Amino acid sequence: MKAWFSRSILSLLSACVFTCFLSCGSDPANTAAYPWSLPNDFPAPRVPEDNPMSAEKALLGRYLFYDRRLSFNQTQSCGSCHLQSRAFTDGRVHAVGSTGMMHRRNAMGLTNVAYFSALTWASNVVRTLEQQALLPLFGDNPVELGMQGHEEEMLARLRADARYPTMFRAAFPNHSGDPITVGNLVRAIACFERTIISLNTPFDRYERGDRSALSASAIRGLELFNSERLECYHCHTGFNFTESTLTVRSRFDETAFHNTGLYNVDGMGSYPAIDQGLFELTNRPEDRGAFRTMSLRNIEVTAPYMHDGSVATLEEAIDHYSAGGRTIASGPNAGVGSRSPLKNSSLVGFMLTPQEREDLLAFLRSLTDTEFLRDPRFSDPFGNER
Amino acid sequence: MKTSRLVLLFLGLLHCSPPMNNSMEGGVATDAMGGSDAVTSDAPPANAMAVRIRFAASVGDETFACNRTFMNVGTSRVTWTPEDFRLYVHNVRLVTADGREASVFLDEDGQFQAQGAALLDFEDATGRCMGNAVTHTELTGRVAEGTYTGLRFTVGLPPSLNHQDVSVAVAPFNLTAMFWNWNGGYRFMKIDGRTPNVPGYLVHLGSTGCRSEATGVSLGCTAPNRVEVSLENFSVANSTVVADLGALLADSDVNTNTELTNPGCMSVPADPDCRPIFARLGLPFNNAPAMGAQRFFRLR
Repeated sequence: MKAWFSRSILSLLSACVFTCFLSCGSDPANTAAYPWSLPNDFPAPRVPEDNPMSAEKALLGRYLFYDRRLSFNQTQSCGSCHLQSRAFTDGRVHAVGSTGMMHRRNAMGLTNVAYFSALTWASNVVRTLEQQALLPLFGDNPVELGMQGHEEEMLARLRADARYPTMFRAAFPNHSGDPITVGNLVRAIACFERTIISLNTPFDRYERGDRSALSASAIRGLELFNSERLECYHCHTGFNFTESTLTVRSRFDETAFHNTGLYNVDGMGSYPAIDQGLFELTNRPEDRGAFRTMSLRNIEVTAPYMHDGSVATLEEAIDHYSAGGRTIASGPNAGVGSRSPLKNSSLVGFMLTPQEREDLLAFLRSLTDTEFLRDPRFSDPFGNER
Repeated sequence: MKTSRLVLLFLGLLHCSPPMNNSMEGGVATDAMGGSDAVTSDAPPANAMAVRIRFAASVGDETFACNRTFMNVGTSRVTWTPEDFRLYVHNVRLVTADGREASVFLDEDGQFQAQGAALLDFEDATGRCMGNAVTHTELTGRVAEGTYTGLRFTVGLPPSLNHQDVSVAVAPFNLTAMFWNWNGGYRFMKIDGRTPNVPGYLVHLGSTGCRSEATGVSLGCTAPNRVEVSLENFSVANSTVVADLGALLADSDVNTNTELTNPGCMSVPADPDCRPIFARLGLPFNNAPAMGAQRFFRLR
């Protein structure tokens, strides 16, 4: 009964996301002046009232995102760890900051980041892109761009540039005084990041009615993905494949964090002490190992996976979920993740035939948006991408 | 349960009528657990007098300075080299002999003091300190005329200031060194130093267990971590408030950082390195109640 109901809802969603909205009438927030590049009548992301979208601001944000002068030693930009060709991840297990300091976590993808209801791997306090941009800029544990205490020098670099004074003025025409400020800088970067939208994968075209967009194998994989047997879609749900999604049409604020049995170092569900996820912020024991559900869009090109990059391939990720948790036989992180008392109840484990495994992989690869990965609107205007 | 969550989400996605008022964003926006949000915005009384409250920083009996090192710090009695020492205070009050409090209305100086709060800044960018040359070691304000024998203040920022948009804040709330965005607020104290074995023993105090709504507006914090300070036998004319880092770190082994935890103490309840520091600050820690009053500030 429950399974039937859930599947029906999912079918309804599939049909509705791309068609029902056509008949939904006007949605003021979605028909606002900014020309979102979205499928017909698709819901726009939420935008903070104090940072409305504009083409000028997004362009400025794109330059800033890729400008290495935003790191103190001028070696890194945001784009150094968020490469377009890898769906804005960096291919490393752990990100490395401008001073060489290693991050404990894997660089996150930015595909459709405008729709995420919370940011970073596990935070219920960093909720907007404007807030988030301050972390890599000014954080010191780890040092990423290393600008803490150097905000005046950073702004001076931008003021001395031939391009930025004009671009800031165009992006913030109502700002009284010098518009080159930290506040406007993070707003421009956030505005650019909200334009990084990918909704034109083979899967999307299939959902919009192009039955030839997916192979027979990928279609079988989609059915497996949505099955009660695999339970993938319970968390990786909706158009962005995560329950932590907000659009202008959302009326509920949900951000979900899950322990997926990646570790179980003490038999009580703990993850390695270096990173217990949401627990670090909430201090609630039940939040040990809880991380936000990631979107699966462009998942094929964002390896390695998980918060600590400890899963190297998509195949390995499927094996982890198939086993209902990861078993680590020896070493400081040894433990049987499938027996974690904290793991999400959907991680029941499943058996796949070799063909089914291939089908599931084919579906996951159908979430790759090849045009997005080379869309000049999101590319490095300085031509620095390594 | 799972199904109902899905339905809720899908109802959100499928909502077809014009948007209502955004009820989701009408939630509680105050720091319910905030403790002392007693910043008074009233004007000082007509009979107010100017007052100066002097502060100094020390490591034990030695005067704090960025361009030197200090011996015998902490339980392992090692060399400690400063890299930063700044803190916010607010809710400053003078107390009469019969126990009545009078608010000190801090001057707005456009740099260190604003909106009832102040940054005390002991670092001068010499030695290993990386901040800026100016320091601020004296609070100035106005208080009702009277004779006072006690001083009270709160270390940290009140919720209304702690959860503001740091990216557009005015001084002294726009120092990126004091930003603490991963916890949704500010560092109330930033005390950075290094020891032979720990290249950065960082003591960052601030509110933890904070949450925000989707708009970024704070929903409050479970551990406010504001330090209440009450000093008796205070004389406006003759007393100096000493922030003694030697006392703060007296029960800490600053030459060892617990493995797989943040370097020093970043107020994370699971970090055992925080326990002795929170005890010295008179703060509850990791669900255990406070043990006595603070032992960081004293009068000289």
